[in-house]
Amino acid sequence: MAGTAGTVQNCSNAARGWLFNSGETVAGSSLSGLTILNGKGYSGGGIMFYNASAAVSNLVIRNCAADGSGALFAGVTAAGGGAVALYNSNSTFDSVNFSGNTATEPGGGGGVFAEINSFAVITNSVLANNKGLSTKARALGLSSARGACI
Amino acid sequence: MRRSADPSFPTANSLSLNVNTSVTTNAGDAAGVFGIFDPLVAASSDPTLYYYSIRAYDNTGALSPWSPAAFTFDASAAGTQFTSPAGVAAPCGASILAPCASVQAALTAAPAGATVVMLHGTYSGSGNVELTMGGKAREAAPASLSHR
Repeated sequence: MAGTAGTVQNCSNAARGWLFNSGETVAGSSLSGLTILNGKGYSGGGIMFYNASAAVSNLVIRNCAADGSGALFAGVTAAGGGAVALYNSNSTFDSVNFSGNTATEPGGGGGVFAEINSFAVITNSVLANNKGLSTKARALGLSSARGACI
Repeated sequence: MRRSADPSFPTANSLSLNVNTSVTTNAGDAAGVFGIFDPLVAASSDPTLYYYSIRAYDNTGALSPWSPAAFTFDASAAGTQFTSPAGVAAPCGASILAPCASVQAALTAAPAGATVVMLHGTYSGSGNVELTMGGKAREAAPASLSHR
């Protein structure tokens, strides 16, 4: 992705990259133009949106993992979204490269996982080489019974 | 300040411009190749406006004069905070010349609506992971230059 090569956030498999959990909104908060590497969280290894949203653009999220370790947010049930997890969030993603991310939750979406009234809009983006626990839902995970939509 | 996603900002098939970095190519490169960008310089009339000039080698190896300011970097937006892996401890962030060493320090210091400019480099370790905007409307963006 253009514009991301020079600014890198290496989470060293120790923590996730970004946590939006204070009611941020797409209109008010944005994140753009960096590469997030090696993030790790219970869910949302690269970015976790929990009752919050942001406009995300021109990002690379690579080699991040939702591995079921670390802090668990109330109501989050799935170690999903190696790159991004959304819980009650309507974040937008434009020109984002999600690659090589993993999730341990079956069907949890190695790339993006959305649950609880989440509505993720993904445009002009690449999802490649992401893995769920099984062969299912490598790229996207969706808890449709819980009101999420991608 | 325009963001790098701005379609007018040169990205694909062009040089990546790193703030505070001089870029040099070799004499004899094809004519018209952007060659050298001078270090970031604040305009004397406006200390929040920085500019780059460009000069280039032609195919005989001759070096052109400096161009007029070709790219500008406007740090005038209220509350803009800067961070860099090579930054400094607090007090920091308000000036591109003294960026915060951790992204979180810059985010925390940024007022609502401000932009946090992440200068190029690799961020890691405490203060650079599990980053939060704290509910304020903020923008985290890489250093970018607007094209005059």
